[in-house]
Amino acid sequence: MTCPNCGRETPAMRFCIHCGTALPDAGQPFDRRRRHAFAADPREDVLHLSAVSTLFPHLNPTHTHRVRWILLASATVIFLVGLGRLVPLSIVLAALLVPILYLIYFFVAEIHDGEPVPVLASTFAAGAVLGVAMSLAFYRVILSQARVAFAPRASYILLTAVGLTILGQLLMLVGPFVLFFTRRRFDDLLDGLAFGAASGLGFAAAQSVIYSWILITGPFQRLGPAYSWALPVIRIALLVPLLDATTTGLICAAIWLRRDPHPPARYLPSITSVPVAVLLGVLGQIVPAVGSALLGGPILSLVWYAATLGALLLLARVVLHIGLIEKARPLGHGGTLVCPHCGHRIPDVAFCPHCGIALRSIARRDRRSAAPVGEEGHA
Amino acid sequence: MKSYSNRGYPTRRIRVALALFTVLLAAMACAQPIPGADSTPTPCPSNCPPPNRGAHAEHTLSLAHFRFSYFDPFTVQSSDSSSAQLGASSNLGDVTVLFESVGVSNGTTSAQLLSRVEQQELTPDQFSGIQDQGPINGAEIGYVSGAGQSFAAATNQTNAPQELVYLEFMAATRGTVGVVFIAASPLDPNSPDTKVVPNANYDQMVNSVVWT
Repeated sequence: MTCPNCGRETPAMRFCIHCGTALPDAGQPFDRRRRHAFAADPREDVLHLSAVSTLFPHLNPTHTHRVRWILLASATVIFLVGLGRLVPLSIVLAALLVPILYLIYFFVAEIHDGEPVPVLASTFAAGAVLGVAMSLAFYRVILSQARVAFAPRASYILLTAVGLTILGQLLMLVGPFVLFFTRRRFDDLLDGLAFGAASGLGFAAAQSVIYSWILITGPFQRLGPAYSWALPVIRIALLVPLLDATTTGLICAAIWLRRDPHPPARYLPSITSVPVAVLLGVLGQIVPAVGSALLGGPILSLVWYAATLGALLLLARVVLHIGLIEKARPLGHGGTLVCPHCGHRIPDVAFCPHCGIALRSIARRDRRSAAPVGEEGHA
Repeated sequence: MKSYSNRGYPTRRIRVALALFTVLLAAMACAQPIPGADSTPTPCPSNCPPPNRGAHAEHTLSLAHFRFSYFDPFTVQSSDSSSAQLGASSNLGDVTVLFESVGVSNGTTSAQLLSRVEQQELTPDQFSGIQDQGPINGAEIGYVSGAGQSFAAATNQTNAPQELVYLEFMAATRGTVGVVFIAASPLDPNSPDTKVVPNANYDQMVNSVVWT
């Protein structure tokens, strides 16, 4: 049949293999934007709140499910350790949980594309080193402005919640920028997302460890109300790392989207532009920090960070969805492959006609499992 | 569409700027060690806590129902007719003191007023792991016998280093007036090195109170 959106020939299935449009079905008109089917995980809506399918977009459904459970179980264990007031252990585990998961993801999805050392050095390691450096450099400056137990000074809020969050965001971008200038073959927006997220996670882990150093080096078990130790751990373990990963990943995805030499099918909307992404990323760092400083407390702080993270995840999904749709193209090997999402054997096209996944969002390992057309059949 | 080609892009300038910034950040990071739990509160190489009493003249502040005096480097951070907050900086953050006069019903004891103030101030919004460090023996304000209690906790700050904080509460009542003294400090009053705790400053201030 002819796709009503792009006008090219496509199998009469659910999605156009060229532009990803949801084809007319049972009286329903075609849907070019297909907001019910996120391009990197069509089982979910675009506006579906999921950190895993947003920040780990290369994973197939089985791995996505597994990571979700690992994340939930690990966060629960860390929370329980916090409830046990084993403060040093809970903080270290909290700081390392998401970065370690993402490190595993880097290898499972082969994000590094055969160059693990330079890619890891420019993402996790650069983020961690710069996180340590910034935290140490400003440790005493921050303390000298602190006023414990009383309302904070305006200068303290400006320093910690505005100035240093902006500087931190810039530092998280340094490592990915090195890759941007030195590894031109990484030209996909999902490469940018992964590099930015990894750098943000390295930075968050390092900063959490340095800022909590006085507690890490203190007694193994502390006294006082258990929840007062456990609640901040959730922020350290999940919310701050995921927020740093999302803001940096969002900015890098927008930058890498412009690097992709493939012309977009249509004009890319302003939400995918680099200035808008930078503005959103910086605001995403400042808003929860200022909110927590002005209307703080362990529970309100969780709310500030969770709400901001949720909003940014949705924005990141919109950018990824638009980018994957508008810059869609076949993988280029000309063979066939098994769609890791729905399991159908399909030719080398831009979108799986069965499930609608953008095939540039699948793991590199899955992309390579190809055979020439005709040898093993196709859709 | 803008192209990010290497040709014509000021990559060299960016690289040099990044390198210089990294060196600067590293130098700042290495300038001073961060305090560990064992080394608190004396990790500072110079100008160590507590705030040294200055050689300058005594300052007197009059509030409703009492007045008190203090010395540099403490300064008034905020005040109204019945309360004043003073602060002095240390390398681990401000030592902050609050004086406040409150109206109480006749017969209210110092211990009752103290308990009320503790419940108001010791909220988990600001602190993790609040621990009662025991009563302050011989607590008095302006030579009026009162009650006192000390606490230790960790601060609950986002985007900032966690800190241990030591709080001292004192309250005294006379008739229908009560005076409350709250001190919050990052300096450990239980440190074996008595030179690094601000207790002498606290003593001076509470002993200078004149009930009016």
